[in-house]
Amino acid sequence: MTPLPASALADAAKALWDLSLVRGLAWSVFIVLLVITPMALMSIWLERRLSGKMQARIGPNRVGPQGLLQTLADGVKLLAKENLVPTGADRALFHLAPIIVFVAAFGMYAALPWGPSTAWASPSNIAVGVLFVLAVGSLEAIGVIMAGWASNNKWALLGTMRVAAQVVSYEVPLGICALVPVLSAGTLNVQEMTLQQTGGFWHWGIFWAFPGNLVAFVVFFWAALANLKRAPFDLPEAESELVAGFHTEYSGMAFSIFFLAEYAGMFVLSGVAAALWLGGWDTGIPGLDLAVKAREAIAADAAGWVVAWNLVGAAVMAFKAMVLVAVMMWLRWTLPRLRVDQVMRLCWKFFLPISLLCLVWAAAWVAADVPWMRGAR
Amino acid sequence: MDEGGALMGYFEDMKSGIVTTLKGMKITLGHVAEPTFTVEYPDVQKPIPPSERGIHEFDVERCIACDNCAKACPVDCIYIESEGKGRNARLQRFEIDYQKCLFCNLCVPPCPVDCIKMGREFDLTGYTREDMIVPFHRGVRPIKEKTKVALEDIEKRRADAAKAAAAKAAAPPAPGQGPAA
Repeated sequence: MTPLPASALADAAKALWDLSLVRGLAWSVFIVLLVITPMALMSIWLERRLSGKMQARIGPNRVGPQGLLQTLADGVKLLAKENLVPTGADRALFHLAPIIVFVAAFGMYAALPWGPSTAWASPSNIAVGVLFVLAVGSLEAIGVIMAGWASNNKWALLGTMRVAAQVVSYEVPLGICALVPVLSAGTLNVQEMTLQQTGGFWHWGIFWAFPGNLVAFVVFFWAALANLKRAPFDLPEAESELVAGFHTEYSGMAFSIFFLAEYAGMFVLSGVAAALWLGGWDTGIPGLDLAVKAREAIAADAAGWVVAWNLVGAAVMAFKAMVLVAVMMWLRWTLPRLRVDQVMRLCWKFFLPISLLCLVWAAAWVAADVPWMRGAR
Repeated sequence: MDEGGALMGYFEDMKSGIVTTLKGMKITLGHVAEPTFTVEYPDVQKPIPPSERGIHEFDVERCIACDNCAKACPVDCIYIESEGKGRNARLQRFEIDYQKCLFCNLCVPPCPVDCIKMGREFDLTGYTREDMIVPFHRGVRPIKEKTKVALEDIEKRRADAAKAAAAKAAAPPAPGQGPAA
């Protein structure tokens, strides 16, 4: 067998790279490993330090500068631990569950817009981005239910039943609230919606159909909290009642995947809220419209500036999402856990009617066709 | 809630939910600005109260090997060995087994010369059971804050020793004891 000439190899590599699937996979691996995972680790660090602050203690500060590497150290520790499968567990489902949760939490990132440019790599231009986020986010519940069911454990099953009740309930106000800015902006494309919010912070989504979108933002945030099973809605993993709920039987890396997925989910839902209502990557400063700056840079053929403005956009987006994540943590360390009936009451008797009112309000403004009450189309 | 009827109760619930949530959030945020209550222990240590009963302090030079502390000990954790009798008793071994010691302070009052005292140290680690037995006769952990009686005793001993040394220097060296010629 004669060795292939180098040029043929290069051609094959180029052909492979040209396949959008391969390129997409390569980018996904790159982004998951180098962007989302560090982001989730950062969130975990933030949570630990912030909860420490709120409880008048210090929190982890020994591993790395200010304890930044503590989560990494914990991850390495969990990696070295045995991945136990309980007797009588459904092995296939048991192993599949964390994978589904992980994929669902990380898949949602695909719809997040990170910057103004669509010159080379479109940051996110899914035509039905909002729908995609909601659909992929709902998959997480399936993974969680799978985990609890496959564990063959009473605590896990009880947690799972709570997950089913809670997540299915809160999907309703979550979806309706996400529809409010969609109605105001007239598009499901998250990047499009972000573009409509540029040009000063008063163009941001929360001011559309005032106060409809503002209320929808608040309700969306709380429904997201419930969907993520975060305190005060952490009934599915209530430590004092259910050991650890649906992930009681998970150990080692499988547990840490659940853990990582929770924080990744927090970040991505905060990011979605930021993109729908808080201008996404838009700075909100009148003179610093990133979309305009990037367009000027493209017109001037200054590739470096295009990259720079996009990086600024990504940083702004990450900052906004991080602030919302911090608020989630703030709430977690403030509020006690609700009772099951209180959770259901809050959803069906408060959030659902409020979100429906917001929807009708926003629809009325769209019907009245008042331009300053909706996105700058 | 009852006076307004079910509908007013609904809105009152909503209002109180929002108000109490904000109130709680204000409290937690207030704690963020406050200094932390905990300290990083091995590096920073909180002051130990004077009444702390920790690992003993012991002055080996002044112990008269009277065995009173060992007799008083309810768990028999003090081991004393001595040579000679009465005034000539000389301490050979004074060990406390901290696997047994319950830090009750009962060994301190019986001491006629105030040479044993409860110290402030509380950390004693080791790899074996033997590591938990502290040999005080080797002069470890002497008493830091001596009592008046002990100070007077030390002063007297020092004066006696000085007197003896002076007498020894004044007296001509005994035959056979002088420097070898």
